[in-house]
Amino acid sequence: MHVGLVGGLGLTLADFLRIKAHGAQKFYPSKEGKAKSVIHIYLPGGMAHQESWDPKPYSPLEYRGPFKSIPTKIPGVHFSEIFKESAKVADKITVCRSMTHGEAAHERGTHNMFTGYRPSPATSFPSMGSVVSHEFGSRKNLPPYVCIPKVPNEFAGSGYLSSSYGPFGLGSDPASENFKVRDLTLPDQICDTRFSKRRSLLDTVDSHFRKIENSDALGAMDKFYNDAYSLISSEEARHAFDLSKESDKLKERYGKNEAGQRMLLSRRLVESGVRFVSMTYGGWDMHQNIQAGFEKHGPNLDKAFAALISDLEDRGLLDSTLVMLSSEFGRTPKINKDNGRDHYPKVFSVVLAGGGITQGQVYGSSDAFATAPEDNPLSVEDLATTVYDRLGIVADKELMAPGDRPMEIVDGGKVIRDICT
Amino acid sequence: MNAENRIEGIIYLKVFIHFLFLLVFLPAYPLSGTEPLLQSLLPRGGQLGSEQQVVMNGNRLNKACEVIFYKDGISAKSIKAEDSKLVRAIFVISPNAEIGQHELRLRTPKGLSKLFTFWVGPFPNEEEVEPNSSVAEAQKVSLNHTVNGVVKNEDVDYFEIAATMGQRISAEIEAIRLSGVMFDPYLAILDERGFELASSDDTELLLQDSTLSIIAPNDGVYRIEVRESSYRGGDKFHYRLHIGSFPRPLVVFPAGGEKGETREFTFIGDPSGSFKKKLTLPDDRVSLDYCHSENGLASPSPNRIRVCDFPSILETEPNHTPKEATKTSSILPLAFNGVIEKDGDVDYFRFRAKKNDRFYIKAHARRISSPLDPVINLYHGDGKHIRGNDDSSGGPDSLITQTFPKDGEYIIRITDHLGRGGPLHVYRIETERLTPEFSVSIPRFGNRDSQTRQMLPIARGNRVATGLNVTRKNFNGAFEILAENMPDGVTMSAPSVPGNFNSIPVVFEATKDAPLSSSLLDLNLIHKDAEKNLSVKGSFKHRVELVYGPPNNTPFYETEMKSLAIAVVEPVPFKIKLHEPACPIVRGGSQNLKVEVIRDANFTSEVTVKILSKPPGIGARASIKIPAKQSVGHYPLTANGGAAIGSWRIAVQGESTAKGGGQMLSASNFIDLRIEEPYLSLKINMTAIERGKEGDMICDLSIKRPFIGVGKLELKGLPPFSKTAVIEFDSNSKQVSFPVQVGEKARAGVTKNLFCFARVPFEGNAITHSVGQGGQIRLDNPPPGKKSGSSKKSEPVKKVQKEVKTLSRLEQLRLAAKESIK
Repeated sequence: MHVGLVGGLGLTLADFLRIKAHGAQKFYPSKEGKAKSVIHIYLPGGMAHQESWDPKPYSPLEYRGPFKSIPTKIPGVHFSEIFKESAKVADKITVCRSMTHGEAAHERGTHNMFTGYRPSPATSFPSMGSVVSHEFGSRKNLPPYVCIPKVPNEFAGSGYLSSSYGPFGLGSDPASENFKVRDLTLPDQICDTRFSKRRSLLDTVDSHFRKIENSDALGAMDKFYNDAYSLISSEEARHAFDLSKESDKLKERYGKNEAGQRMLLSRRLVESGVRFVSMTYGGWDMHQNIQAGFEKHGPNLDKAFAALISDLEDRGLLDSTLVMLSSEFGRTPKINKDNGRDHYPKVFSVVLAGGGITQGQVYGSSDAFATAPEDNPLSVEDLATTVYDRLGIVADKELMAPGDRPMEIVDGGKVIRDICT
Repeated sequence: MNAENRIEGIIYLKVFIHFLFLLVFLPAYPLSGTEPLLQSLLPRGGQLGSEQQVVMNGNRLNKACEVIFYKDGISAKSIKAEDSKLVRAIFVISPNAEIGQHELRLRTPKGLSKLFTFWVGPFPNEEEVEPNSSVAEAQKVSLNHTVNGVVKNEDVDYFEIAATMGQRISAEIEAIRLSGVMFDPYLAILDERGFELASSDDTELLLQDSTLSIIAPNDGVYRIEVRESSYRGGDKFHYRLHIGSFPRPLVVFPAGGEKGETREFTFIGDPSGSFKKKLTLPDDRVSLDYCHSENGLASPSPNRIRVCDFPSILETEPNHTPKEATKTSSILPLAFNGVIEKDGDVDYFRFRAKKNDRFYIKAHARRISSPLDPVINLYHGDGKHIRGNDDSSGGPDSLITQTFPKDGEYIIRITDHLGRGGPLHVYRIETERLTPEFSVSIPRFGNRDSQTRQMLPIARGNRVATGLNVTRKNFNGAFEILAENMPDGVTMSAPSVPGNFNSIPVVFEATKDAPLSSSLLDLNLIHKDAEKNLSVKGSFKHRVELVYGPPNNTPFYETEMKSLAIAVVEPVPFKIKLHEPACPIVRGGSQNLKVEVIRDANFTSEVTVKILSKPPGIGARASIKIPAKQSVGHYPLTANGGAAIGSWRIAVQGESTAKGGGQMLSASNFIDLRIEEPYLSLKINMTAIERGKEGDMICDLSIKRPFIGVGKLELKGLPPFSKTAVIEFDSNSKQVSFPVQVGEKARAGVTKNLFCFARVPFEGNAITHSVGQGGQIRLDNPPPGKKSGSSKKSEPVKKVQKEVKTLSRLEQLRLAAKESIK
């Protein structure tokens, strides 16, 4: 390759040399961007956009659905009446109403939203949290990627990356009374001395293994143990996961329920140094009686989400924390015979806030009956690329998949500058 | 007693009397729940010609007063509710009752329970006694008894019998058919040493349930083993095991016959060999369920013989080539009967059909308990293939729908899908003329819920309603609904059902003094077309899914009822009135219906109002709520562009939660909803206005129907920071213009989806139309030159950073290839 050529490709000499150093692998160093952490609020089941962020108050009733719409802090923009608290913080968030993809099955849509890739039978892709974990590693002795209350699905894992970049699932719900994160303390009957004895015993066995076996799985295993030891011995970790340190008033503000306490813990974790928190809430697969479904899950989500945004802002964390609220898809334009809506990926809404995202904006729109994006369709790749960009990761960077097969973090996405500050 | 004390005393007395008054006259209904919730009924069956004590458990069972059986021959007496959770009764089973499943509901003064089943068998009952979980502990039972037992988790139950050499030992179980949990049973007969002589898991005759019959090889002790096929179990895994020396034929040949005919049938599959029996088929049913009886011992479940309107043709072997086909000169409809006797056997029949006749050609095999998986093929008389089929309607039996192209001979071929055959591989191919069919059913209340709201509690002095879904086959005509067996004091109003309607409401009303009672209504659906000389009848259907199992809660056992259970129940404390709309609704328009809750004095709860069924093209909310203590609500409706023009009857139903649980129901009267063509259409012309300026949006009006007075137009969907006013129009308007003010703060760009609400005056009211969908407005930035303070230093132009184009892997490879060529 001629050196002169690289100028024409928009590469600097330094880039070029780096590429050279990494062989043919596209390489861009990751350095912290505007967003230092991400809180990904995931609503499994597929939340209806019509009943939340993109109501159609003038469409016929069979499209409109059961709820009225209310004005928000963004002039001319309405949310569903269920999201009245979120409406009050609308000037702090960006609603993307033109999210679109083609996967109408739960697991495939979920794959899209967690990895930025369409599912492939050949490759297991890493989730965004695992990529962040891979690129930046841990901060302040805390796991870089935490799932609340547990690892939500098979696509939230590390994919083709080493399993050491996988998520740390709490295994306990912060909303439950006896919430206790496993792995932070020794089991009740085990004292420190007994624990050290066990550890040295394990070391002896392990060193024998290492002599006869050499594989990535062993390395990952080692890392698990080391991470676990550092978690147990880390005061910061224990503090980060200790919800009892939060005032009752604040707990009330978030709502003493699954949505509220999970979001409160998410905030507590990013405040302490966790890079990527993925939390799930509710069941949004409302094929029947969407009204009852939203009346059950909507208000808690609304209250908690609005509290999270304003709490982050109060603490000066909103600028450095990117909040992403998403679901695997939206729901059909027309109410079905069971008064529900079915799967619909062609257009739906995601909400972004903080961490280098614009405030008080609606990006893209759906048409009058919420059947297709009307302008600025937002693809899965673009969304993922933009989130990575805000974190300081160039999504075009290639990571090495098994078989020495370099793969872009996201294939072909572009950064949506209109929603970036 | 001084005066003061006396006055105080009088006050107390007054208060007390007042209290007494309240006690006596306050209606009891808000304090108790609604329909009874029946959860278990034990034992699960009883013997023919006996009285069986039963215990029913559940909730809200207080004052249980009646058990309603769907079939004759069984009744209940001495019904006694001990409390809200337990009812005892005696079921009187007549010797003429049908062997098998009997469906029932329990009635209280508040309503009817969901459908439950009770099984009638030919033998005396015995209870299972634990421990009997090993061969050594086997429970001794007498032959020709029925054991009522339970399989606990990983439980295996053993029963011991004594038999003599050559004696028949039969064992048959009711497990999944008892309609509780997903209980897939397994049966085995073991000899004295514990060796398995025969076993049975699933059977063609009894689905997941098992049946076994062998001839005892020696005198001695035999044991019957019962368990769940995968060793599951639990407190609800009830079974009824029939052990005895009863006959157990598995299939019948021919598997059907003509109505009223007497013919000889061969019963195949009994271990002592096939036997023949002459039977007369009924002329009022579609099948005969026959339990063969020998020496006073009947099979505990019947063999089904189909009953048709047309004659049967029996195969004559050899018939395994088209040339040798069993030939008949008769014309369809016919039924072809035979047995695929050995592996690889193929049977042919040659028959005649008439041009343009349309027939279903149905191969019955699994439906008649045959192990055959039939594949059928239809040919012209010369052997040219027409079409074939394997498996239809989710089962292995096959179906061809055929319009015969000409008068003449045709051939039908049948074989097994895997080329298997045997003496039990009986088949019956019926040819059934395509006739109009239709039925109605109550829509499901929830997913995997075939029972809720499938029976109607009609409160005294009130109304209750249900929507009915119409299923049509080869039929799109209108019909009327007539009810038979209506209880005293109850009337039904059902509008006639137009051909294009697939959902209709029916309303039942009970007088104030209607006796508390129940009835199984026959809903007769009648279509008469004098011109075509056509008269078609349909019926009500309720498919009851009784057992669900994996995957995804698939129904494994179900039954179908043809009557609708209704009951007159105690009053509920509210009524619903639906007000007649003051004006019609137009295509593309909307309207609010006024709903009123007429509350009893002490009733203040919230009422949810639901529309029952909507005319085609009408959209409505699933429900609206009328909050506590309020009495008026508005039910919004919209009509789409294709809404059915005409006048349609609609009704709504109110529901309110009873304090003791359940929903109290009250339906409205019927009203007429008129759907008409719109009065106008409108087109919004695209406009461009500069930010901070004013402009006009011009709309072209087209008045379709004249009206009197002045209408109003309201433009909707303008971008933020821009506004306009409501404008007026009349019957002669051709063009109107909205003055639009665009604020400085408005954002430049195109806004789509503008439209107008047009309100057309109608007899003092207004008919709302939505018109002009798809209008657009473009907001422009002021030209740069015009900006105020242009003398100011212009801001330095920001350097626009060029997006660095990154190369995809493919592009890199292409580049490298290009380079290497250079």
